[in-house]
Amino acid sequence: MKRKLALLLAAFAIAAPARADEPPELAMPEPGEELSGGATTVFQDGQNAFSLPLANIGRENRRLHVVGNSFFNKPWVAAPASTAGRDGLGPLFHAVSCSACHTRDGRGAVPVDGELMTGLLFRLSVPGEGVHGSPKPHPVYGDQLAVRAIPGASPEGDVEIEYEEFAGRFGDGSPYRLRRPSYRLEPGEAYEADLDGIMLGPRLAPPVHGVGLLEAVPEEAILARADPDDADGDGISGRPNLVWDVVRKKTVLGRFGWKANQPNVRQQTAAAFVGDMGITSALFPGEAHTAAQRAVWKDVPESESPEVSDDILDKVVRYQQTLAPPARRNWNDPNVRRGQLLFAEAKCAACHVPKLATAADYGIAELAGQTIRPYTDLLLHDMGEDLADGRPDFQAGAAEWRTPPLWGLGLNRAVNGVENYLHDGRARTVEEAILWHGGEAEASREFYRELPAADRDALLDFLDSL
Amino acid sequence: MIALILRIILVSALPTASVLVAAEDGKNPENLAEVCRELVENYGEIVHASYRDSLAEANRLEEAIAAFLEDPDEAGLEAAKKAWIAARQPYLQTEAYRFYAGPIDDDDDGPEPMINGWPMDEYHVDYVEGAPEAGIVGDVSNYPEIDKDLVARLNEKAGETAITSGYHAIEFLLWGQDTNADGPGDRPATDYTTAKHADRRATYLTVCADLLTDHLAYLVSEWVPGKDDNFRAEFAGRPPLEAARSILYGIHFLAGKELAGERLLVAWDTQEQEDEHSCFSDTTDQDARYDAKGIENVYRGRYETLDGKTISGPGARALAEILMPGKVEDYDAKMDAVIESVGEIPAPFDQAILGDDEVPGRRAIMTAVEHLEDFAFMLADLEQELVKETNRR
Repeated sequence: MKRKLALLLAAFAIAAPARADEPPELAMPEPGEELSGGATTVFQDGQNAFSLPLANIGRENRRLHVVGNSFFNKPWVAAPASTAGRDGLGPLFHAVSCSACHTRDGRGAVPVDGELMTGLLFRLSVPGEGVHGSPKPHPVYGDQLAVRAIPGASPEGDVEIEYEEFAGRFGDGSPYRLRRPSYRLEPGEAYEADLDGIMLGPRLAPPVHGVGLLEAVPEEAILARADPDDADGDGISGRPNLVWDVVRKKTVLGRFGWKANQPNVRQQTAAAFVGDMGITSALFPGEAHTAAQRAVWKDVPESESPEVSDDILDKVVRYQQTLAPPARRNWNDPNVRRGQLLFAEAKCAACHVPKLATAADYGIAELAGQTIRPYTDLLLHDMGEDLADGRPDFQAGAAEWRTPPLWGLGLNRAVNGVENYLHDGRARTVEEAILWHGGEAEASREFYRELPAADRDALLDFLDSL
Repeated sequence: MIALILRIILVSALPTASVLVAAEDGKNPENLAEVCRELVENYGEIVHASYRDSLAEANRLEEAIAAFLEDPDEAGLEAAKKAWIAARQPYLQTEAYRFYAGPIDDDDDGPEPMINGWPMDEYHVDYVEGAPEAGIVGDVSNYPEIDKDLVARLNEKAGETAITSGYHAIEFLLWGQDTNADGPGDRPATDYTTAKHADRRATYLTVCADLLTDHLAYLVSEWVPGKDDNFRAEFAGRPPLEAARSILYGIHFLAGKELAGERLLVAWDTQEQEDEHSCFSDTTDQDARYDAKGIENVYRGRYETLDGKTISGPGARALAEILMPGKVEDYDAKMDAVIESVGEIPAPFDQAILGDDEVPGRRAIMTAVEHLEDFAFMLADLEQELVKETNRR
């Protein structure tokens, strides 16, 4: 019987002495190289690798974490129900719980064999600009496709996904295959609407761990890396998204979401409550459906707002903020360290920035003053036409995406059983994801494509160690 | 290169420093590996005996259910409920062996979600108030045949709370929904005679009991001594400090995140019966007591079997004696406080969680939560000491 060792015992292991024939830079991993989240790092490599609280969590936050966890996992039901604390689902919704898409706090999966989508959703908009520079919602369907609805209301429809497979070759002649998705909106029959010009933005549910640490990185540190006009001429720009903060009522730096269209974990969470589950909050007091839809429903009671209290919302937020990043595995392996050098040499690290620091005076003590290794700069980059979704979002153009963090990358399969990468889950392996990189990342992709097989493997081994 | 040389000097300097420190604070780590080996061996004996006891009681439960279903009446239903309550007692103690990917919750084939899956949205199984045709029992067209394969396959299929098998599914099929303030659910025996879908319900209950004994038999086989291809053998073959750390982690996680957190604090916070562990039978207070007893078994290295034998040897406490000799009394005192405070949690739990924070029930629960949290933090400290020793070697 195959058994995985869930606990890595190398928490404070000391680097093995280097072999004499290794170049010196390979021999010297940085102290703490394996600690993806500094003192918050947990050592867990199984199914629960993304589900543990910060290693240094104190009693107060542990309690909030535990209660928030239960609201993250448990399904919400339509009101009125006997479970007064968990009703308010719908009328339109995508899923019944946070964990339905972020399974075990990991990433969603694309639907297979005609199943109704869960871990993937579609944002909608029409040309033009909405309030505060946001995308302009469709007048009938709103800004997100709801594939589910409570009794009395009707789902908005579904999207038919087709993949076209095609072949490519590495520099050394060995072949690879990629799949390109295409989408066809299949509207439900309940609503009469003109769907010409509607823009579809597929979005895969990203993993949740580590978001508290990313939120604790000072804004100046992120903006300092921005190079919107590529002044340094390295072919890589990096732009901040500037988005609307509904609480502060002003335009601020965006950090979360595939296009960095949300400023913080709380607003991201409240937006997901209302957009994905039809649950209103103080931040988003109105249901996510349009007046045109309300008009065609029969016997759907008007909901009382807010459906999720500030108290519960805050606990769900704190739960996510205190989910720890897992430690690296095999960071000391010579091949992995060689891959790490290649990662830098290919300029992957120009956007997937290995190391950041959280604010020393950050309000959540466990997250303050940590050296973290998320492998992101939290900025937008042009990733080329192949990845463009044709749907701008605040300052983010159709082809621009926020650098996703890579910590925990090698544990996706252990946590979720499948691998789907990029905003629409088209990549079935990390290598496929690399091969889709275009735009500013084209040179890095070509560097990888031209590497000999042993070097490509080393780079993949490095990514697998994250 | 200078940095490299410095690092090598540091590495070689460390053991000397630690020996000096060890001598000062009275630690005695020389025989740590040997004690860890004995701990792992004694632990294996306890785990095996307690799974065997769990299986024996589950077999009695299966027999009581079969006897009830032969000619269903209220007396037979009562007998089955009593058997369920008795069957929970040894099993809950085995929850101390979870959380380190052992046989119970190994990523690939651990049966834990099939045995004790919770919280359970009962409408996936059978009727509830307002939904008389709900669940697999009522869904004749989609599930014409109810058998072990179906019930096992559907467990958690529709989400983590879509539990279809295990103790809590059986609990629901015996007690029914608990809509009473002052007592548990009161499903009538006629649910198995004249009620709609009575035969399908009976089949479902039989299947659940059968699956439960299958899964427990599997766990016994993974821990039986003297085999060379089961988990017990593999675990005994691991580096002893590593295996000891897994043992510690299991009780640390059960005490802290699971029992203090998920099982007690969440319900305390929400004041919702939905968050109660054994909500149909109102036996959540018993759940907490026997979970705490499971922690104590591993801590003290002691287990009393159903047939009156005592297994005794080094427990997690032996690690404290070596690694934190000045604090063993604190560990012992906290362990006692856990057992005592958890024992004070009143029944029925769904009523004890109600009211303001000063009502006796809520205070009792919070006191237990605090002691469990304290003990979990202390076990985490012990784990860190063990890790430091591991890295010194």
